[in-house]
Amino acid sequence: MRVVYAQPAYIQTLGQSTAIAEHVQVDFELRGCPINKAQLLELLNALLNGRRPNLSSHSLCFECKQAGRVCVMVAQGTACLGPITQAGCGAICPAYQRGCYGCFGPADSTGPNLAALGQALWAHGCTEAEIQRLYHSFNAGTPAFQNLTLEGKS
Amino acid sequence: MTESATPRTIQVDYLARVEGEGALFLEIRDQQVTDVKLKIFEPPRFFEAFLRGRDYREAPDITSRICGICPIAYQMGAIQAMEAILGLTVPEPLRLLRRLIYCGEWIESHVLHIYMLHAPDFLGFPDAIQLAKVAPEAVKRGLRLKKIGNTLMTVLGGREIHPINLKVGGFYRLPSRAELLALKPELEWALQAARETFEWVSGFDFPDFQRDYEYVALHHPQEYAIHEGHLHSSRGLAIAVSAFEDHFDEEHVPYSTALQGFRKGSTGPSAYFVGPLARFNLNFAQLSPSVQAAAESQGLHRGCHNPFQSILVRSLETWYAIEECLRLIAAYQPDSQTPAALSAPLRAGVGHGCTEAPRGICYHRYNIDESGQILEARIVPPTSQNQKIIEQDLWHFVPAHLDKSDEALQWACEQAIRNYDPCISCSTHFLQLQVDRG
Repeated sequence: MRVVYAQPAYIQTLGQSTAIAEHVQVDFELRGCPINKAQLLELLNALLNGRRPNLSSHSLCFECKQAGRVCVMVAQGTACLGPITQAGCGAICPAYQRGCYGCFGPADSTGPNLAALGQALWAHGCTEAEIQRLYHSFNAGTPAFQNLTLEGKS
Repeated sequence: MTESATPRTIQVDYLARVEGEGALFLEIRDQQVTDVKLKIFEPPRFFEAFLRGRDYREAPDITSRICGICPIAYQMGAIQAMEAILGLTVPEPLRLLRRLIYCGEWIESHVLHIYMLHAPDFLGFPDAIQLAKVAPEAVKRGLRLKKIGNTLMTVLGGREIHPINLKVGGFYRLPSRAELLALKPELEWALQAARETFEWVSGFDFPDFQRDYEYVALHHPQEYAIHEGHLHSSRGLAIAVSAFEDHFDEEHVPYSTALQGFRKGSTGPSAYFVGPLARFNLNFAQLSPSVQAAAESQGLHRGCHNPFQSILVRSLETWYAIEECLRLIAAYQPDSQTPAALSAPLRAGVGHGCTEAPRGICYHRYNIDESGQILEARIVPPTSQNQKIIEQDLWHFVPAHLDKSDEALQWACEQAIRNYDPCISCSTHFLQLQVDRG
């Protein structure tokens, strides 16, 4: 089953809004809605000094582990997009006892394992509609989410 | 300088120091203003379409993206509407925490406008960076004052832009008492800085300009309304938020893709005024004694009807918001019995929400089905409501300033628009100015 935006009738609107990288060469992408201040400063500093920006491309889970936070998904069963979302915000949502909703987009490092997270969310009692909504919010247009198939769940 | 007899056009293609982007077009013929258009180009209702089909609990995370300056207004309007549908009333400690984070938003938004966007108009600088060269202490004070607003939003909301901690029913996590008490020293500094801000802007020169406006603002019986109340107007309207659409509507003008708000009336549609001046004039008696006394020192206690003086009122509201923060923090005593959020069984229905965004009332209506899916959403941001008033102000203001050069006239017109701190990015994006003298 091809996973689409929650209301197909409104996809036309999204259809006209495409990623800038589809139109021009993008040298570097700062993630997040909003972007993180420290990451912006690091990027500017790197550009001014002619070096590669030192910004993480791993998943949000690393930030929770580094901060010593208890996993909201494992411990509380809260649906969390941390495993597939790019780090950079400091894992704010889990720090506030809620699951990450993915506003930094899918993690670059290994390619987000949506199928495995989908299974885990399923096991935690999420319905298919809930999983689809989680995967199809601000970053619904990214290839990782666009090409998603929830195997065996349709 | 253009000869006064020559018809002229003044066009500002890109109005600076407003939130977002828009344009102004002025046409002058035979020393008469013949056309004024505040043009806004981008489709403002995109978010209402995004919201359809989403889960009701997602609304605050989506609506917060309408604005990076006033996300709380958009989150809280949605939350109120959903709580109205579910029949939820949050307990007093949560209600006050919402007021506290809203005060943070008022502080950061008002201070940004006072120091970075509006003050340069009065002092003759193109922007705050030029202002900082001659008045570094003032600009530093402004930046530090703005930061305390950001800090409040970060502590309570998780981050200052698009906070993540507000939800239908309350919060995901309550702050500890210690987290809030840690803000006290900086807020005490801010209280003094707010007094100095008011003294500073009181020294500005204000164009002599007054009109008879219909002010519309929230009114709350116990407090200076910020995050809840009934809708009142200076011409006797007193209604529940849910009756908003019986008395107010929006129309699509051909030159702008943003809708313009108007008040429905037996004599036809009329413009109404929302924002700091509306709140101040309708709810002055509920400001604190110290803020009232400061207003009186400038003769504002009898009312303020000059939109150029809105910078004074924003300074007074900033001062009041800081006092409120100190009061709310001192009163915050969470215990283990205080839930972070309430929940209620899901049901279908229509709900309304309205709060006082820094720029004025921000109205929301949602229709959800029994599964919690949003069927319909309507959001009326403050700037779309003030658009007509801004145009009317220019119709009245420009004739008295036709002797000015195009450049000086453009400056004055831009200042008149900035009186409203228009958040064009909320209603849409884009502002350019064009004055046509033929």
